[in-house]
Amino acid sequence: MKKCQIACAVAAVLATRVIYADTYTIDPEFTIPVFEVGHLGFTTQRGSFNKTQGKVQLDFAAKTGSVDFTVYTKSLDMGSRAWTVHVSSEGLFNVEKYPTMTFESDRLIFDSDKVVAAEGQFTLLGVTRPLKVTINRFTCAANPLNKKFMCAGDVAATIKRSDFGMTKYIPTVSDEIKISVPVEAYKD
Amino acid sequence: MFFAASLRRVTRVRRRLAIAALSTALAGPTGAADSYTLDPAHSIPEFQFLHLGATTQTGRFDKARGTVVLDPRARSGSVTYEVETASLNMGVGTETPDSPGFQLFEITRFPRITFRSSRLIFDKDNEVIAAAGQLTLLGVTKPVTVMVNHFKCSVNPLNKKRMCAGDVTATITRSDFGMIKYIPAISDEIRISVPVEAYKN
Repeated sequence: MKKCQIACAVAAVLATRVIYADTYTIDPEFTIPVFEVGHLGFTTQRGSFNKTQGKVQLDFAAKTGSVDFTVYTKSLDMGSRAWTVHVSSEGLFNVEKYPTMTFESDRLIFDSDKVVAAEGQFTLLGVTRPLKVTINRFTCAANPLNKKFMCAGDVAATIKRSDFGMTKYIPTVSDEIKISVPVEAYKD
Repeated sequence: MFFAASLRRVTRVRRRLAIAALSTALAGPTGAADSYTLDPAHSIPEFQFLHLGATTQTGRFDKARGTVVLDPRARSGSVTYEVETASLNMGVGTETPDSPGFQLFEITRFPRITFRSSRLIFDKDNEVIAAAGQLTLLGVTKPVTVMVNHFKCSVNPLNKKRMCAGDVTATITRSDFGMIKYIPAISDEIRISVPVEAYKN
């Protein structure tokens, strides 16, 4: 009897999790990562990656979830063509050798019903390291324009590029890079 | 000890004031104004808005040009800055007449956004911290004061050319300029960031 109580409780929890976990697909048009880097100690320069892909699993009842996010590095856009080519080259993003950057997390951190952070693994230039990202303004609602249900928020993180072996031009171009990713993901 | 230190400081300040006064006298009222041209590759204006109250979306104009005239000793200067609206880049490919960005900026009717200032604001070290000027957007001209963060004039260590640089920021309410489409799905408030790197002519 006692055995059943525990087993049934576990089963119930598992069942609940299965029922409430929803999958969301990231809308690439509104999920364009932007990064900021200090240039020559003078200005803050920004670049973006215009092609991304990702899925988010959310289970509000169990307060769990996961993120699987891929950035296609060849979509780098620095605004100026010559500069984009330069930043894409070997020693920096080296896009020919490393066509993707990824962030994978299966530990979302909830504050009541809002996701406020995610702990995961970030892979850049083939180097994988743990990364915690914060999530601001997390909201789930129907998009008033297309009426589809989505979850969205601003994801932010700061990395040191030297941790991933990207050491060229430090400190002329800062080691610290601020990353901002607006994420808009529609329920499947 | 403390007394000696503060005395040194007073002397130093006095000396600096004397040098400043002397330089101003030598330079004359208009003699020391230099002009600088913005490096378009590293002076790309960006703007951010809130989308559906949830995410911060960034757009940018890849073509902009400008000149800055600076006379730090006279604490004066001016800025002329011009953005080509057709260079709008929202990250999703070429803007077409159907795309929201194209419609918001009315790119065909208004090919330029301009900012002009003849009133630069300096701090006590004669560094530029702000510029009060006129922003023209959709043909509407309104006064806008932009902030200049970590302004610095120095030699670019890579190409050895003398430049002045800083991060320029401003926040505008787009409805002030008659840009009311898609409010509030696309926020009325727009944050503008322009890294400015300008080489001495």
